[in-house]
Amino acid sequence: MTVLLTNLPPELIIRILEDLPSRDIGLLSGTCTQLRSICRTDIVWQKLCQKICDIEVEEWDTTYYNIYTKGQFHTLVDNGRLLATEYKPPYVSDIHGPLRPKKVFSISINKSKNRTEILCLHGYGEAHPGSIEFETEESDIVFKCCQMSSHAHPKGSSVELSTLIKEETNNHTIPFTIDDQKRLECYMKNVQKYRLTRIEVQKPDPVYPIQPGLFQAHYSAHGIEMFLLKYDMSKKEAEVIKITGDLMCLQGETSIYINLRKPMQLTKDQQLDVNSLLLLEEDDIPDSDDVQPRNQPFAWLNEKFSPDLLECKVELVECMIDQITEMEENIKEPRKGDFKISIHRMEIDRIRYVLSSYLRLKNIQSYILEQDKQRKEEEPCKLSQEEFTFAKEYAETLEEHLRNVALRHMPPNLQTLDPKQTGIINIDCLTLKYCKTL
Amino acid sequence: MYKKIVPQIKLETYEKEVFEIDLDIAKKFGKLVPVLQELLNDDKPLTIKTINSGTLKKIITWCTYHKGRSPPPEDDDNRMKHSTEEVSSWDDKFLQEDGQAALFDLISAAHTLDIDGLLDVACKVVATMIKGKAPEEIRKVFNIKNDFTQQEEDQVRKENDWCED
Repeated sequence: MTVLLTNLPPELIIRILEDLPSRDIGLLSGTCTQLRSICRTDIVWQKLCQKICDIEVEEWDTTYYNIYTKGQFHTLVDNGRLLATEYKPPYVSDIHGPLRPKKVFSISINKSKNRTEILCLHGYGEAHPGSIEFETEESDIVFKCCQMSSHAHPKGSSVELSTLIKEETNNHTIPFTIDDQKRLECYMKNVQKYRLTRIEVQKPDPVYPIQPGLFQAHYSAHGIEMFLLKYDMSKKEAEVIKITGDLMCLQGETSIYINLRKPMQLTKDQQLDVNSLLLLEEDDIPDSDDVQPRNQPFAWLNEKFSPDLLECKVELVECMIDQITEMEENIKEPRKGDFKISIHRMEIDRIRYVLSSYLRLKNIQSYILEQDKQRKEEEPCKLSQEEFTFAKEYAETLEEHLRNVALRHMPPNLQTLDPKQTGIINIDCLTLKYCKTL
Repeated sequence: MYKKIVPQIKLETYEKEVFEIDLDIAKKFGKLVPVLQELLNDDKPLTIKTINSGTLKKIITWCTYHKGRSPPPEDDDNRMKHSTEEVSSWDDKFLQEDGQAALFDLISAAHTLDIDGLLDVACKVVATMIKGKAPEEIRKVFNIKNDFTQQEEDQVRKENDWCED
């Protein structure tokens, strides 16, 4: 009868592997030849891949093991050359779609010249020379293109960008702006460094106010960026870590830190009225450790909310609201128990996050007082119609408030309201609040 | 007074010992249920040579304890998907009290009898025994003989670069 783990039939060992994280499967394969061959069965890795996203490898000449352990970038021998392929995530609008393989570079031996040839496969024209360097750390290789001019689109950069955006968003057209130009420059940089980073996503739990996972947000000049939200309930804190990096905040750095120990309980009225928000004192924040985290409104501290206001992209907001509605419709449809539903839910949460991060409340306040008066007539208004109305009302309310609180107690000759002075007061208020939140 | 007769089925083990099992317990036996129902009125027991008496006794205990719990609906999605529920402390103790050999017997018997719930928790218990251990520790726990050549071992280590700390 059965005595050892290795006496179990392979299908039962595979069943046991389903309950193990990938790392432990890797380590188990290092014990003996039998377990190694079972651990390398592709069905094991297919199931692990499916936990991350719904992909099919059949048509790509690779295995799930390769995709999982070598990440989104892997090399294979193809017609006597070593071909490196980058697997880009599915289109934003079609999360069930396949990964998109893109050839990056190849290494081959040129028989006539009798030397190694490294070719860059980026760009629109012919393959052109590139170089490969090894970093001090063995796991890093750096690929450099030696002929950047070959990357240029034959019809110029604006055509290239719109093609790129169309490709990325699967035909959602977004107007071309200066921000997008910067995005393109970031994207087209000639040095590419690859490193395998595995992302551990926490399991969902009703205790979290917003479920942990991956989020994406549109970060003006930096384009669409990815974040990982994770909780540390023992310390009662949460962190948002950058998955994609930029020059301001590198990959792997904490972008947002959330303190769950001091939740602010805001009434509906407080949330609606900006003035009462400004009047909140430190004492209003309960100093208790036993408040249930699920009731806590969130204080998001966003390092990237730029001090200056960028142009409003109503189209984006509308496009996203459309997407949310569409996806919520979709969710009602599929079969019961379909695991894709949970992926859909996550996606909806992500989009919600993007929308809320686009709330530009604070910036609008300072903007209207500081800049709108200085704005020249011919400049395009950076606010949308709704935001403009809000900003105007805010300015009026603040002016009235200041008049009521302070000015009417002053001598009549000082009772005129100097716009520059209100500006200063306003900045003080904001700085004060900022310090408090920090 | 009318006494309800509980229908029973008979199973014969490796040791040729015959067990009479209540039908409502045997209903946990997945794909075997139609076979067992046909045998209901038969006096001859169903012989399952791959299961020993000790293991079958344990299975009956487990099924009796979990009788109240209804099995998950039989559709393909549910079969593919694993419940992420933690193993209860009763199950954990019950499965580990007789040592590893008994646990593996139980897994293989649960597979033969198609008792999904039992197979699920038992596999989870084994997975927990593997989790977080280095190859050498795993070998020790499960009494696995290292049959790699030095060359193979180096290769495996290289392959598993990505899962080292």
